[in-house]
Amino acid sequence: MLGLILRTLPAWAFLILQVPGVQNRLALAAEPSARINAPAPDFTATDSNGKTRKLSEQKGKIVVLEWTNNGCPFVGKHYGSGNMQSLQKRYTAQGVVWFTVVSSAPGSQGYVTAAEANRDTERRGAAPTAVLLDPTGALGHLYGAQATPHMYVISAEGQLVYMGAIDDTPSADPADIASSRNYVAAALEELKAGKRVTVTATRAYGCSVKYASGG
Amino acid sequence: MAPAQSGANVRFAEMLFVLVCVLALSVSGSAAGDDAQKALAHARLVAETKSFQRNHAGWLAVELSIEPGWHVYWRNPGDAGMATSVKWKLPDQISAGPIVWPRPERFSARSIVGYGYREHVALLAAVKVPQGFAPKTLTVEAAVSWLACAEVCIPGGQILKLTAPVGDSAPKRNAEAASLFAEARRQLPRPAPFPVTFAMDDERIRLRFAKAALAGVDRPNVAFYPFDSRLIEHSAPQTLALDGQHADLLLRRSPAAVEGISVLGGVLIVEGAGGGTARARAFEVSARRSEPVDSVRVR
Repeated sequence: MLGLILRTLPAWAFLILQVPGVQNRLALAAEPSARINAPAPDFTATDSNGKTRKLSEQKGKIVVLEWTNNGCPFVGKHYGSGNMQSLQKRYTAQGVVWFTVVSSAPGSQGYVTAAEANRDTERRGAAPTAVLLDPTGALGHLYGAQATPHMYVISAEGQLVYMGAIDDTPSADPADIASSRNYVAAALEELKAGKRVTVTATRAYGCSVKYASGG
Repeated sequence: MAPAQSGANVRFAEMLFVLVCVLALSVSGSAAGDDAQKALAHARLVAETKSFQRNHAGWLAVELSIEPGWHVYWRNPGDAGMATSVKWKLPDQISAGPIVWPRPERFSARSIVGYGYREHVALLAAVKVPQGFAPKTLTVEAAVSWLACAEVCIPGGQILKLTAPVGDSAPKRNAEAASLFAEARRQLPRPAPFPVTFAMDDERIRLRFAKAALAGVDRPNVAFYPFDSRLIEHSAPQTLALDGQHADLLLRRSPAAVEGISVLGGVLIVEGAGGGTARARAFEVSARRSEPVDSVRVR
């Protein structure tokens, strides 16, 4: 019990530090408003370095959203193998903005403070543009994120062009990665080639997003 | 992760422990550590008969006993999760039929829906031994893998083995397995004895069947569990509309649903709201697309 209290303490502290305005407004949107081939819903979120990130500021750049939970074995499949990091490195080097999003509620699996998020990034050798902290689940609900990993690709014109699984092999076994079709890489390559994205929506596989209760 | 040694529960528990330790090291605030010492599901491979008969099918069950509070997944795991899988290793001339899945339960946690099993499930499959199979014994190997979830999810697996004699005469019943198979078959959805059709537009899917299918059910509660996880929004309410001769079940279409499907397969569960004596009926449905898309109407 004491352990639990101690563990949740930073969470409380973090909540108090949150600026309530924008996050609360987002939380009212119960139905996900993310739709394929429609403008990706704008959001404002705070990253793990305290910087405010707005989707609308990324116009002209391709944006990837990646939902994560550091205790989820399916996330472990893609980080333990280096698959996620290599995607991040390859595409951020080409000017893609990559946001890793943590929507675990305080006290739930995968919840991280800003410092813990940065420690995870360093430990994993990850290379996202930023890690967005979403402890209220507002951003997750706005996009309808259900699983970790759950992936979204937004075109330079701000259209949502892909949502769903990272690849076509629902398993927790890293050995499957080599023979899988990576939907995110496929969408990004098609966008860069000026083509239409062919696979636009799939069902994500993985752990459920550990949202706050009632959220 | 695949267990290195066949049928070794202890071995597997050790591996799980190692895995969970790795997770626990990398996770702050995770509950996974509490479950470190125990396997969350135990698998067993059971044959219905004591031997296999040439030119006949023999039934096998992969039985999973699941720790209280945890669940494993159906063929369509829902919004997240992972289907339980069985990979068979059999001699060249022999193959196993598809898994026959018992009706699933629906789990809902914080707006995310899953389909699967708690406590206990038996997945059935038939193995047919051809006339020309010469060996006097058959060894069946099944690599079972599952994802066990409670608050957190932990993948698990076991490799199971079973060897039985092969003969030309009718096999002896395996008395110890009789109740397992009988109960497993009670849990199977039966083919719907009524036709089901569907129509869909950009946002909805409407399943339609004759109202007579609900006859004798007090305040029917109907739920559809599709085989394909991409078709519907699992967390959206499913509403039943009774109209003239028809019963319509309205589902919210998922943005991941592919165009051009002509058959919609799944399990339709009909429960009476009266509770008590009302026993849920589960039907396997293969709904044909019958009407133009624009005919989907929601009152």
